[in-house]
Amino acid sequence: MDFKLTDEQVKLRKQFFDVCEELGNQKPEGFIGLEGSYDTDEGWEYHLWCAKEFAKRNWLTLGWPKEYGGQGTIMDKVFLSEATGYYDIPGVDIFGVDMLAPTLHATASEEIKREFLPSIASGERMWCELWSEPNAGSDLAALSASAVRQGDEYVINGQKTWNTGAHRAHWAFALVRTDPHAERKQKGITFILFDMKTPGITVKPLKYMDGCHLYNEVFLDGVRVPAKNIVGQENEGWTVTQTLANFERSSLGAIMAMHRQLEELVSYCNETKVRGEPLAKNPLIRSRIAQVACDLWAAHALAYRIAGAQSKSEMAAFDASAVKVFSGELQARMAQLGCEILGPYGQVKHSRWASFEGFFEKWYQQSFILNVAMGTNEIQRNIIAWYGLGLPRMK
Amino acid sequence: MDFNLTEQHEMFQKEVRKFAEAELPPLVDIMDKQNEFPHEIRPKLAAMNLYGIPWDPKYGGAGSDHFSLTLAQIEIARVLAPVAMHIQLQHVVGDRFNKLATEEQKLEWMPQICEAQKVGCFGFTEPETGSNPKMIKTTAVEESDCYVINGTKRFITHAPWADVMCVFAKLEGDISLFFVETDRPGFSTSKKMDKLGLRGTDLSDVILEDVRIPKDHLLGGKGGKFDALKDAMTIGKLCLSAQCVGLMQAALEEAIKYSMTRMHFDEPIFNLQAIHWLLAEMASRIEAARWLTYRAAFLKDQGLDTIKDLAMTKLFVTSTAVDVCRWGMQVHGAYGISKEYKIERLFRDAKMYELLEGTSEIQRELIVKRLPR
Repeated sequence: MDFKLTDEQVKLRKQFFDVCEELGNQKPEGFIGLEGSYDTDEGWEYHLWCAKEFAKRNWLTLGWPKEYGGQGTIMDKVFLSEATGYYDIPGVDIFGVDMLAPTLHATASEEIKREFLPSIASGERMWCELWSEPNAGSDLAALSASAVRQGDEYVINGQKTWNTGAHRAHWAFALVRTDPHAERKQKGITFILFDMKTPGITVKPLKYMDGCHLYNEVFLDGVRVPAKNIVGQENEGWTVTQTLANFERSSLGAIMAMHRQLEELVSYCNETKVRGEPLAKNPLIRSRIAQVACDLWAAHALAYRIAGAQSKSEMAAFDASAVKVFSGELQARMAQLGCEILGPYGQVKHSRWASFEGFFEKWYQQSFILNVAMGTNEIQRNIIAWYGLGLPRMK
Repeated sequence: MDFNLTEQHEMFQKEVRKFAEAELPPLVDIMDKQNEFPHEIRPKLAAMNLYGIPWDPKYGGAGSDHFSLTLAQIEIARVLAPVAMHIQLQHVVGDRFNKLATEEQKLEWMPQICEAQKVGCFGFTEPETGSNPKMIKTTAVEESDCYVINGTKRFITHAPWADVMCVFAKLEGDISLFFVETDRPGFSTSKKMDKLGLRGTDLSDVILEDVRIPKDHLLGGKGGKFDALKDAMTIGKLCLSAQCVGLMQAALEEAIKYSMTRMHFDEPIFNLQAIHWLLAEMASRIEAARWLTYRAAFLKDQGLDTIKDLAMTKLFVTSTAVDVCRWGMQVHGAYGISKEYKIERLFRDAKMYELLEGTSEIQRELIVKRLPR
């Protein structure tokens, strides 16, 4: 066992951090988290600009096979994720770079790879995911959006929901039902790619509780997509989704963002006096901050273990579930603590009254996302119970 | 010991619930989305006698008790919490007149507060003063025919449109309490703050610049008004706790409703054990919070010192409200974060209560100081 990074890794990690710090200087005012990229035109431009900056350093292809322009390892991608998380820098498309590219490497035909990977590597094409539907969320296999083959096209009809950034994305990867009569609902699903400008696509905002535009509903009405755009085999899309286990799923980006906020919270407590004493001398606050720090380092260690296992292709699905549950719930606790430490200032939105530019007010609301997105924590716990602990499956 | 509501309390609770369910839902968007206060509700609340519930009818009050105030706060907050907060403020301000003003001032001001012709705000917190009264910097200087007040107050609910403000200021080195009409020269407010929850109750800074008030605007004589502050805060904490109970009740109702209609794995998610645990936990915590709040209201009506009890109540109930509303969100899954469902508003409103009327840290200190030893 060795927790130490190699000299080369240390050097590369530092390079990632230096570049992200520099990119942070151009960040638009009030840019926070994922919704920073999608909510405003300014934020989206910044996201695209950062993507180009990463692309010109070949950092969007970390861990890819060399024949597709790849360099480095999955661990290198983990280090980049730490740097972008710490400085809250966008540019690494969570759908194109983090999800679709590994899926294509694992399951797509050579033709599809050659067609779609280059624009992901260059940061020019941004993607969205069209999976969930109003009646197919945690029970994703219940999806009903249909794709009917007509000649060399599929005609798609249906409704998708909770589509992050669909109002900005250039292309989408979707799950559609191509065989409504399949024996099991997991069968008869196909994984397909299409341009979001295709006629018949309507995107409507689903405003987040803080009023930001991050999520959407997407209506597909007679959308004609070339049949060659499927990934894997027709009716075998469910198998394609199972390759998700091979993604970088250490949650280290979110964990590093928490490290940054912890540092800032500690500075605030050192600098802010209440009754003539710095908050940092309040035993209750010290204790709670110390507890968060312990939890955070536990999450960090767990995440590194998962990243290490993943880099050796040894990661199990429940490993990623464990770190997602642990770090997601930690983030919610930390956002709550931040608001409490700020007291009445914790309620104020970005304005001259707000501490941390209103970060904790926003984070309190955003912190909920991790606990329901990409499978709720209830589903994650089931995965841990079934696959990790061998407990019987309830239903 | 009797844990049943009296017939009058039960009847009053039903009336307020009926009123809240009929009148408040149309105001949700105005308050929460537009962050505006719907002034048209004021005469309706007054007609229901909801502004001066425990006060003597000769001052315009309903002649009832703090237990009724608590029940009303729960029922109003169950539908729209910021309206309950508005009612709370009227009680906190009016109660200062009730306890400290002259008979003439009571007869002048309290009926107007009960009729909502006048709206009050409460000015204690300052930019550099959170929970420590000794740190306040606002000053009052006595001149031959008036007091001159200077200072800045922060996080003042109702300030942008209030008619009268209770102002804590240092007079001759000690804390005194004054009331100030907001149309006096030198009284101004900052831009309204945009905030996380309890939106529409309108919060701003108040700037007092050489505000001159008559000498009879000093409430309860010079100095020693830290006790008046603590007393006012017990009413505030009782109301806040009751609002949390109402909010939690709404969260549970929403979670049950959603879980019974949301189909997953070919059945309502209400049938899933993971959802059972969340709902059962929510219901248990709400009952504990409700009875702790009822007990505090009972003690208040006995005229007992409730500083410790209300600190305990506020500490327990507000943190419980955050947990319960979060679990309610969790039951809703991704839909919990959508503006289409009530639960996201309840989740945002819940967090506010931990940040107001003294943080949880301050409540713990108040409790420990009063523990038997």
